[in-house]
Amino acid sequence: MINKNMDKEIKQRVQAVEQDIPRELEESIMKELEQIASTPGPLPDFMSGTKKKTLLYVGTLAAAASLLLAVILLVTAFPSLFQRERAAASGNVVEDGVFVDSAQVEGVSADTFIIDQKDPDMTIVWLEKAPITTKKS
Amino acid sequence: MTLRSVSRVTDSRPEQAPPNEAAERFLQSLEPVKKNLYNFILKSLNFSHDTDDIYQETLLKAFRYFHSFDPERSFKTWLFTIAHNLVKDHFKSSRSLVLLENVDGFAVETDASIPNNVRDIYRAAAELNPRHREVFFLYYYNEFTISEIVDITSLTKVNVKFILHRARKAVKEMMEVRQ
Repeated sequence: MINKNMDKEIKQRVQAVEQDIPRELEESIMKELEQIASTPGPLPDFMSGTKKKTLLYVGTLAAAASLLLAVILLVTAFPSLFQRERAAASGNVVEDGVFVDSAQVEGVSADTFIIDQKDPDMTIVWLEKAPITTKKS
Repeated sequence: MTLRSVSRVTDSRPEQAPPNEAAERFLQSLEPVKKNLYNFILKSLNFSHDTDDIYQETLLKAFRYFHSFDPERSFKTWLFTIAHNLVKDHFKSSRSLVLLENVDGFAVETDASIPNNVRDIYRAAAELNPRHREVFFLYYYNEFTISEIVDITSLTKVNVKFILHRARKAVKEMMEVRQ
């Protein structure tokens, strides 16, 4: 079990070793920093991190909103572009319930699918490759 | 690196006030943490000679990107994050040299003024894998909190706690063997 005293002891021992930064290294770094500071570039803090982040956030939000608006306008202006003719379902409607064998639904072959007979468009409610095992009651 | 050096930069180029103001602010923020940073890199690299290069690279990188530093964050944590990434890159690029460094660069081993119980801790730390060793020193040497270590290393809180647990266990075992 490691207790707080031991934690403290480890800390003390770890902190007992500390080296000074070599003077030559400090001087060499200072020279480099002076050089960077003296060259005109993006060093000045023209924009703080927070401001930059906020600007990025607002920009992304505005772009997303514009895109959404453009899509809505397009759909409203040209609704025909986004409507698809539903292919007529072919096959045998056995009874209400309802299942049909070996049919083509919207270009996809289905062994079985259920249709809603109450809907004049025969809306497809459910589609499956495997045959339905449901039996009518 | 002293503030006198900074004012020298400022005085000699008065027309470049904004960069020099930033430079001065950078060096002012650096002053209280630089020794801590240097020793963190030194210990994380197992007293390797590459410490000076990584330390220099950390400061230059931090200076270049100082404009992107968010003043609401802690400067120390930000600086150590840069150092951590460079230490990580160092181990990634010189994986084959790590073993050699563990043996050759262990300066604590050769320093007679260091007591045995302190040496034991560093022996145990040298046995840890680089990532665990970093977390160990961030916690025990630099006294960062677990949340700060999470910020620096991008590890999860649970992971940091687990690493510290493993490190403590290793150190405890080493201490018990000595006793």
